Amino acid sequence: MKYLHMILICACVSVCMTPRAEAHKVNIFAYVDGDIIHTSSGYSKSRRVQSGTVEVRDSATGKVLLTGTTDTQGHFSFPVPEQARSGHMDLDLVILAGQGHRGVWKMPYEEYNSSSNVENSTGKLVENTSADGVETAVGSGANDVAVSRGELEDVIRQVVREEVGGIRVMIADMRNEDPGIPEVLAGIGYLFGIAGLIAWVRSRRPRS
Amino acid sequence: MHISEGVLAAPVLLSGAALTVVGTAVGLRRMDYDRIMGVAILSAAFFVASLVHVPVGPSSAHLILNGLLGLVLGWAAFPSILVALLLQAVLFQYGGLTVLGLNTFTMAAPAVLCYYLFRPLLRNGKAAVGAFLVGFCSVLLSALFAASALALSGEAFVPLAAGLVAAHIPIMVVEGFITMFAYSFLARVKPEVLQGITA
Repeated sequence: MKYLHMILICACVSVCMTPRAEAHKVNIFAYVDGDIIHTSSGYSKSRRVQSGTVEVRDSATGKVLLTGTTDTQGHFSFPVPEQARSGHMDLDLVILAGQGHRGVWKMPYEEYNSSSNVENSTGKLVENTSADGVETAVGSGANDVAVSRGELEDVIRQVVREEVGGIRVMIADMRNEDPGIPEVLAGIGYLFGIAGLIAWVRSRRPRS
Repeated sequence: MHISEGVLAAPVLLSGAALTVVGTAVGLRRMDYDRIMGVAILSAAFFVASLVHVPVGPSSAHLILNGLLGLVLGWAAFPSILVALLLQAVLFQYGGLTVLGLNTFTMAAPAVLCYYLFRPLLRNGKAAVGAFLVGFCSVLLSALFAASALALSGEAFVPLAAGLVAAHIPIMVVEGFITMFAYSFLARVKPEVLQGITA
């Protein structure tokens, strides 16, 4: 009994002192914001991939265009590689979390190109507006503020970015959901179904 | 312990798959089909075990239970684990289909190995110690097998093995106790389940 107590204490100590936990899968989520691609990698909603390697690869050839390391929140951001844009490449964003854990996010050329086109066209608009000196009055009365159209669009874009940020986090979290009751019950059902099928087939065979 | 797709080299994947085919063939040949539902129950336990998280400091790790399967099923652990991992890959996206063979081998082979390694202890009246060691060492060997597979695909073995083993220490201990208690419970209430060991 004395030994059992010692074993239990050792067990508790070893459980508490373990440096990190293992996981079964790793997810990566990416989105484009202007000319920047943001990635977020995690094992689950709360457990992020820290110091994981993100590889940006050409989908067609597998060539690595650039690599980076995730921060403590599992984030890594990078500008769209010029080589990818000029070569019209679809991208594979690969997270290597170590110990055999790997996840991939596919980003087609149209996705990052269309986003940066919006940014560029708006940039031209800002320049034109500023050159023409066209200004728009916002508000009324003594607090009237005159802003250019470009500035107004910048403010709107910033507000939309902040509002959409929450939705992006929500989408990323949805990819990190653990399996639910339907998947678990389906798996158990399959196992007993297979066993039942084998038992039924064997029961129909004449015993020698 | 589920190695993801796209990490391992093709020869390693093929070797793992070939070894799993051999292990599964032996398992199917030796399986007692009159106890097929018992195999399904243990397979279901393995399937669900990965969802049972053990708190480890600020984070958590999940159970594997391959030692328990090896202890009760022997070689039949191979087909049992293969089907459970297949369902985990399809339904949970754990591991993957191309790496299914190797993942099965890294989890089933240690179970069978420990079954034979510690069977003398189980038969010689030191059942509790034997069962604990089967549960403990099955996870330990699985971590080393997984590290070897990754090392054969180009990664450095020592830091990998150290990291994997360190990450699994609590699981080894917990599974050692689970296997020990499950064995003593089965030995008391349904000893015929363990007839392969005691015969």
